[in-house]
Amino acid sequence: MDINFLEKHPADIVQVSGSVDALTASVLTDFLSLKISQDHTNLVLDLNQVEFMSSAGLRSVLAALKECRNKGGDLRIAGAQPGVEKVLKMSGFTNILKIFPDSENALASFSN
Amino acid sequence: MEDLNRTDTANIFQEIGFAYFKCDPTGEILEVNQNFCRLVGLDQKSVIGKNIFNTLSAEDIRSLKKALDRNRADGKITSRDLVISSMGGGPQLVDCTISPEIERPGLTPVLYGVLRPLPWIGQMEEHLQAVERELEIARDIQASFLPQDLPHIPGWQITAYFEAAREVAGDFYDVFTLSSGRRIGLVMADVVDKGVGAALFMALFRSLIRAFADQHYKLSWMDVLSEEGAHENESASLGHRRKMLSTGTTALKNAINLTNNYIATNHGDTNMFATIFIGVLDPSNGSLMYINAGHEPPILVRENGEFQRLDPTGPAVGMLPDMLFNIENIRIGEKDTLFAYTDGVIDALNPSGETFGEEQLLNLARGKYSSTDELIMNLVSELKVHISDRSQYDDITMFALRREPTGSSGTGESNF
Repeated sequence: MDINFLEKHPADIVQVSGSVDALTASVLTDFLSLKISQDHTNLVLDLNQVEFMSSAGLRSVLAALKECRNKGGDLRIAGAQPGVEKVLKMSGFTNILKIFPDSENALASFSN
Repeated sequence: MEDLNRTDTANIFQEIGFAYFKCDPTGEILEVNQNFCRLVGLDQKSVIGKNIFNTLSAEDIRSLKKALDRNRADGKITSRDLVISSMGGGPQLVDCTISPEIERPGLTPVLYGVLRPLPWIGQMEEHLQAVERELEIARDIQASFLPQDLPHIPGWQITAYFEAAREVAGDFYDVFTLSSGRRIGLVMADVVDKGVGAALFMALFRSLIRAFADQHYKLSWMDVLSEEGAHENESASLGHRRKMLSTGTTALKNAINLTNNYIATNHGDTNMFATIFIGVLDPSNGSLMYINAGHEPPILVRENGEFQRLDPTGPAVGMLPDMLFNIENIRIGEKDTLFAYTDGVIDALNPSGETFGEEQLLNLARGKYSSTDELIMNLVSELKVHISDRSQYDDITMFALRREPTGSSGTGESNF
């Protein structure tokens, strides 16, 4: 799993690639938590390059979502591939956060 | 300038995280740091002037001196695992690294060495055994959170299978009677993540669901009984039946809502949640009310091979408080089979890294089987062939429930 951070306006983009599973999820959790603690509280999580996301990955997303919202920001997901999107839908993440086809749309949604 | 450098070096060695020493070619110790003193259990004064070789066994001395001689010619560093004894304290296994002799103009050559304490293999084994014992206890206790025996349901077959990927698991299933056997509670669940954390939450989720479901069923049936007393003449009316249905759905809904809010409120910081399928079956007519909280959709296979997925009716349980969970109702007909499972089944990897897959599972689940035992056993053997010698990545849990044709004598239940 690789993580790339892009400072943008009005939100920052976190690009993740590879597999977010039981072995790698804690790295994502720590990364997101660090960025949020540094006041990057509006985040687009770009999952375009993520091939697999296990429940451990969902837990990372939930943790970051709560932290962002606690600080008055939000976390939105962009570019999830069909497999990952299915996991997000099934577990009900689509009920608790916003999902966009790509990071441009997700970024634009923060301006509205 | 040279003095300053020397002092700096000495300071660095004093602060450094491992035991350091400097000795002359005979092994007489000239300088050590605090960590060295701590390691051998003596103060600096007592250590200086002692011979480093005298702390070793005769065999270690021979082998170390031989290696030092050999490496001196090439200017190479010598590294050895040694047992240091006879200084203060007990014997200590160390990873010892010694520089070759370093010539100093006008002074005796010196050797620099560092020692890194290593745990004894014996100590490590003991430690590992202790951890294993603890995990065994945890596994045994966790087993008590799974049903020991499945309830006997006349006219129905049920078979369950559970295999943890590690010592303890985050998956669980449950089958229990409600309302004195007039209803059957069915649960298939997967707590997020793996290992001990998931196992602790498995115990909590399972207990909350069982307790809340039972409590609400008892209360709701008391409500129904008192209603019956009040409206004896209308007992067969449509309104009354609606009332009974709604009482049951409320109980089911409350069990999930209360569990969700309890976890989200009291354990929100852990971000733990679970995907849960929970159904309440009326065995007399095959009516199944269910909530699918973010779980892999169970498959209802009709007698003619047609099938239906019981898709999610709400999010996973415990993510955020006050989530909305809907109830669906479905009828299990004679010879129909309900098959529920966790993602460990479809995500099981073979040695080339391919998943077992939903399609294969669906094809197998739709096959013709004489009993739920046969269905589960066939699935398990196909899974074992698929996984082959690869280690199991996730917990594997499933159950199959079949309604027997009326008049059939055989009933059965088993868990593997």
